[in-house]
Amino acid sequence: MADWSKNNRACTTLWTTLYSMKQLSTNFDDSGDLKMNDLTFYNSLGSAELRKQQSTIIADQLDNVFRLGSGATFETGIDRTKAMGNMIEILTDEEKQVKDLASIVDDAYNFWGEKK
Amino acid sequence: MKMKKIITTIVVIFVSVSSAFSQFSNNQLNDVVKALKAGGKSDEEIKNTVNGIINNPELYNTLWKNFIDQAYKQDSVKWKLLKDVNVQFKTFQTTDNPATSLGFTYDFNYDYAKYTEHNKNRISNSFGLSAKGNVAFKKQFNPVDFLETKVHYNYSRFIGGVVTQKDTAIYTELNNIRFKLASITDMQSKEAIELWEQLGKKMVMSNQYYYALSPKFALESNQDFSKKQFTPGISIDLGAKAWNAKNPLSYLNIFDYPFAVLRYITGTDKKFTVYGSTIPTAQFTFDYVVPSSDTTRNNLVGNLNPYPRIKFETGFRTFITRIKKENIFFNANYRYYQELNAPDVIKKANLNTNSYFVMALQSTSGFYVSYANGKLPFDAKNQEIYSIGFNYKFN
Repeated sequence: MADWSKNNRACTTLWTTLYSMKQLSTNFDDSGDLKMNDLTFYNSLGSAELRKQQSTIIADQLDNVFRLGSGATFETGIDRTKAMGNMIEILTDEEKQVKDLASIVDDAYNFWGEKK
Repeated sequence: MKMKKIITTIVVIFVSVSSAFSQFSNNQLNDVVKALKAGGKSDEEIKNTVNGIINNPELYNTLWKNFIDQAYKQDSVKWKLLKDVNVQFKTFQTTDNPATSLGFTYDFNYDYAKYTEHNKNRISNSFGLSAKGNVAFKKQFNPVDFLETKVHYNYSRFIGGVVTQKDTAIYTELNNIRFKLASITDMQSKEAIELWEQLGKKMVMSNQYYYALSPKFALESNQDFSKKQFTPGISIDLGAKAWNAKNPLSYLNIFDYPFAVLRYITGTDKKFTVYGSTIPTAQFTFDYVVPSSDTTRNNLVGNLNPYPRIKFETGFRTFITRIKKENIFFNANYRYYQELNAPDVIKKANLNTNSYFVMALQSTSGFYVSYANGKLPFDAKNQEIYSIGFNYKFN
């Protein structure tokens, strides 16, 4: 996993996507350390079932934007099941940070023009 | 008897897997005793100090975390399930007794899910096992909520979300825009606003719809199993998101209007913008409750006939503003429970319906002001949020 860096496509694509989805409003540098409960979808007052539902919707939309909207493909050995499962695991954990999400996104997707 | 089994199992796990850590803890305790003795403390004072350490749930939380870490390090495949087990030790206290008892809350969730794509829709099928509850080591301190053990199947379908882009030249342009945006500090600057507009034109988000059906079978019981009931049922989840704020669906999100005004007034948004991304999601649940043993209900109603019950839950959260490093959010949650065709005696006791509403202003650092009204059924209380009236916390 690369650090939270603007030179990493996973980081910049994730950040701009979350920003466009109104999940965060901070600039790139301030966004890596945000926790999941700092994102708009994470309602700590709801039941765990409702939070899982919200996390699943967010994960599905991230996958949409990465692959259908931005030309990313799955890394070797990764499919939609693994990518979604890994993202949901992070999204439902209030202590995880945006950079943790970027890490598993980086592992799961090969972004357009990304050098490996 | 079952309680002793649970406690014994946990003790055996601790002893066998984290023996090294236990030894370390014993050594630490011995050091504490030695230091207290050297300090001239009486046996009674030493006993009280050691008891304070032993009765501190944080000690057991540390041991549990250590156990998980060590086990996973030893064999990540064999102990993979442990990652899904959330155990937290804590102190229990009843409302009419100042004494306390150690105990733990457990929450185990295992899901096997498969996510597939079919034309424009995405589907997931999952099978899950879950168990959750609170258990005090001394029976009389057990809370009134139920333990729940559940197997469930879930079918979900996602529709829409983004307009598929097939022009590879656009992918490159998107990368360049993203890189430029990441280099800008002020997201309200003219340059940033223009770049966000360009990004929105090249990567077009559409409305996303979601629904899920989850048939399940659960066993609910109190901690000593003197009350237990089987609850087959089905849940229906509904969700819709208008990711593009200009889409008409966004304007149907009436809950966000007051906050759109606040965002506009505080300069958080340059224009009056209703967030379609915060449209509340909802869950409806229908259960057919089959009581197996419940002396209280039997005495009250005169029988243990099965009965249907419904539950509805919805949640809303939206962004208000950012003050220095603090993000301010508005959160709300509403839950409604009803026993259908409840016997008169249940209705007269006002036990057939319950509703609970809570809303809160929350900030990143933990500051919150909340207001709650209503009540949850006794078997569904969540102490994290169960506090009526105004509450606040300043960090």
